[in-house]
Amino acid sequence: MSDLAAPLVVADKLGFAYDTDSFELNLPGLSIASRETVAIVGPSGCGKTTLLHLIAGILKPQSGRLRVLGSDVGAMSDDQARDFRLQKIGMVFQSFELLDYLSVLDNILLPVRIGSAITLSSSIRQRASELAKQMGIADKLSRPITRLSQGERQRVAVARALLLRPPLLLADEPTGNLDPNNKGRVLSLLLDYAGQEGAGLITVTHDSTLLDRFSRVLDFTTLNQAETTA
Amino acid sequence: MMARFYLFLVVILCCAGCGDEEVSESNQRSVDGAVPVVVAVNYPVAFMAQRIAGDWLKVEMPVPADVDPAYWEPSVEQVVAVQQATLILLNGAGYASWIEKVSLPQEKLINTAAGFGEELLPLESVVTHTHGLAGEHAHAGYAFTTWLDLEQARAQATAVLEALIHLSPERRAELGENYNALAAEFQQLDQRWQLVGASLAKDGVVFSHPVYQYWQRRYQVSGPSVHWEPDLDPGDREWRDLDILLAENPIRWMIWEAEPMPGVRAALAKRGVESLVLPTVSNRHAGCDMMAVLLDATSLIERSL
Amino acid sequence: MRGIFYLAWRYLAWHRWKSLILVAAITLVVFLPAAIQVLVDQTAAQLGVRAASTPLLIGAKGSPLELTLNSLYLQSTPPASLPFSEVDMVRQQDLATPIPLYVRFKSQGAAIVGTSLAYFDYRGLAIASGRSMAVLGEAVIGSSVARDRSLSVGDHVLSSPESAFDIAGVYPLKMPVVGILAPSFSADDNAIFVDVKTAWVIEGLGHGHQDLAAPEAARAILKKDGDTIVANASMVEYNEITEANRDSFHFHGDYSQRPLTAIIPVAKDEKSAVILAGRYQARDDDVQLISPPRVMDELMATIFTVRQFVVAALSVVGMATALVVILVFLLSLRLRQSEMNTLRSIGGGRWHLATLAAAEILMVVVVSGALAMLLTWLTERWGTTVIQALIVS
Repeated sequence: MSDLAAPLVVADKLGFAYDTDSFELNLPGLSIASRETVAIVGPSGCGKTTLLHLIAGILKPQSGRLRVLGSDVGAMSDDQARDFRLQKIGMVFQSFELLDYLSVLDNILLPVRIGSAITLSSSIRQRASELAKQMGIADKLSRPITRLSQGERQRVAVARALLLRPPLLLADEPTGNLDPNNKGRVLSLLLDYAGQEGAGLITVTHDSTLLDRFSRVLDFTTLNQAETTA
Repeated sequence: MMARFYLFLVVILCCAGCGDEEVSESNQRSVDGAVPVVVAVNYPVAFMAQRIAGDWLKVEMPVPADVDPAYWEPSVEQVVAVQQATLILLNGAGYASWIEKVSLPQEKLINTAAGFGEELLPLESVVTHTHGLAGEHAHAGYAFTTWLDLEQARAQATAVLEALIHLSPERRAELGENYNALAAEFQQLDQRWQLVGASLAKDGVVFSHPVYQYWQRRYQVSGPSVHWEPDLDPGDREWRDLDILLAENPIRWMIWEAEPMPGVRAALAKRGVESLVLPTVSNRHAGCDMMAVLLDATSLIERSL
Repeated sequence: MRGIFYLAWRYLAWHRWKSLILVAAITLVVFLPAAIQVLVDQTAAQLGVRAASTPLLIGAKGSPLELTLNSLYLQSTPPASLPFSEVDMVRQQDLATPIPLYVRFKSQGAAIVGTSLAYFDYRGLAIASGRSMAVLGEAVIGSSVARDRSLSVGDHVLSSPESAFDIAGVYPLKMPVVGILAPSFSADDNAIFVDVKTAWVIEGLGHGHQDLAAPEAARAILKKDGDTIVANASMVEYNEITEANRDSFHFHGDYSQRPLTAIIPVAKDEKSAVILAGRYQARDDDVQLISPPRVMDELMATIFTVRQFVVAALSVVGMATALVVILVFLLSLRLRQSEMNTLRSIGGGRWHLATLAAAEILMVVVVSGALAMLLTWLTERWGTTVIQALIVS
């Protein structure tokens, strides 16, 4: 798997700004090697989520170069970026972003249903139920999401992110809405996956108590400021 | 009810041997079902129909031989049977009041007296009664022995002829021939009755029943009518009334519908009144057809005069 | 694509009340104009068949529509009457077989049709049980009358007084049911058929009572003046014609002047029909010959015009509903903005998301359309029966 060998992220003079905002992102250089588990910390509004969106190909850099898993995401078309995201990246959000109208199982299977690249096979269904077992929600597969606790919901979201065995996990404050117990559990699930599959994990977090579990901690203020001061 | 109907069938079958144009003759042919059935309300019309038609249709007259067809009331079963007929020949002049009380196919009804409807004679004695808000009304009617005027009989035969031609236009010639023969017989008898009438009128006549109105008009024989039954002695009161009548009118003849009781005949003869029989032939006479009956009776009358 | 439809289906199922209301609204908007179209067409066909099978109708001068409705559909107020002599006049011309109709009286809302036996043949009415009427006073009833009132052969029907204050002529006549017609899916199913003479008895033109000359009637005699007998109110007048009293029934007045509401002349052929029509056109008395198909065509033209207005109004309503439905979809898309963002960040393409929204609309519209078609089909299939029930009641 060349994806696993390639560095997770290589950014060079990366620049991005929103039209409606005074916010600017300037990243003179960033390199995250394969299999690294990285925590990005920094105050709110400094651009951590924007960086994750750039890595995921949801946003496009306006200047500089950004290679993710060896691919130039800045040069991808929308469709290519979507397929890339679907197949290579697992996303976990602070507010879980589950669909109320779907059952637990359907939420886990969501990536397959919204893309045409992958068809829903029995092996994928099996993968979904295995993940549910790992997440401790195997007995709740047919329940509506609304009847789960916060911790359970985030575990569903993690299972969804892991469904297609992505080589890179992007998590945006995945433990932000969880109690201490669940925080540790969710983070363990993410780190265990990365360890077992040799995947990378880039997590944006405010939670300093969890930082020592990552292989590297990046302070986003220094990352972004380095360019400003330079 | 059915018993009466069977009796009627028996009568028909018994009569089957009489006369070459007997009404019931075609009965034997009804088996094949293809023979149209024509129903007539009385014997004269039935006779005319059978004479004109010959044997290609069956003429039925559903009235038992011992019942006056004018007052007969059919059973429901008999009405249903009549409904199936190809044609229903009415005498007209209100004859057979049962017609008014049953459902018959309008389009099959032929009023044989329609041609002389204007000349019908109203009945003299009319009971008027009043009840409810509808006001006074009379149960009026017409004299109905229309065929005793042979000119009227011929008109009725003409109506029958037209109805039959309508039924079977291809038989027009044959029917016409039969009709002409019948009309000729009517005409001959008509002439004889003219003479009989002229002779009777001179002598004075009393009629046993008021049923000879058209005969009287056609053959110009006026005279009073009584209500005497041929098979009964009229009783003292009627005899007294007759004596009063005889005192006021010169009367030599009494005309009967059927042969009177010998005693009555003799008692009349004692009063100088001779009995003559002129049947109305409303119903079939065992043994002979209508013309035969009338011709026989006429010969007898002619001989008596 | 299947995944998209699955998600759309789950969404609709989750918001089932919203979905049902949408489906119901769209279904109604599609169904109503279609149903009106179908029903009016069927009514037209229904009425048209009856009219077409009755190309000529003779009646007293007056509204041709009233005459047609009364004679063909056995409803509406009775038209002016014409004398029975008209039947003989038609017969004498030898162009058509006249079927008399006297549709004036009712029995608990069912029309009593006074006619002749030929009517049954003409309308192709078969007797399912019993027989047709034979003697005065008997009735043959339509299949619906028999079913609705649980009547069988041997039961009785009673004519209704024409009005509550009708103290004069019309008194109720009790009529034995002697036959029940097979269903014909026409107005005949809800009618009671009697001989036209029986209808005259209902009217009081014929009646039966004690023989006033008989001794047992002495109590009923008010005065006797020669041949004129005046009866008092105690005279026994019969309200049922039985075998025992049938003899006493008699009619008053001139047969030819007895009333009819119409005559159906069954022309021998087309030429006869044309000649007959011509002769009636030339007449200047109180009788008219009309063409029910033409009368009904005119009525239908009016109904079609009304239908156009109704359908136009419904179309406007439909457009308004469509706008509301669009609004509902737009609002729901707006509410689902964050969901769409999630789907996009997971890897859902813009085209896929658009398809997802479209799939929902499509499913709602397809289900509504199918439902509307089903309802329209049901209307087409069973509507006729309903219309018949309506026509007759």
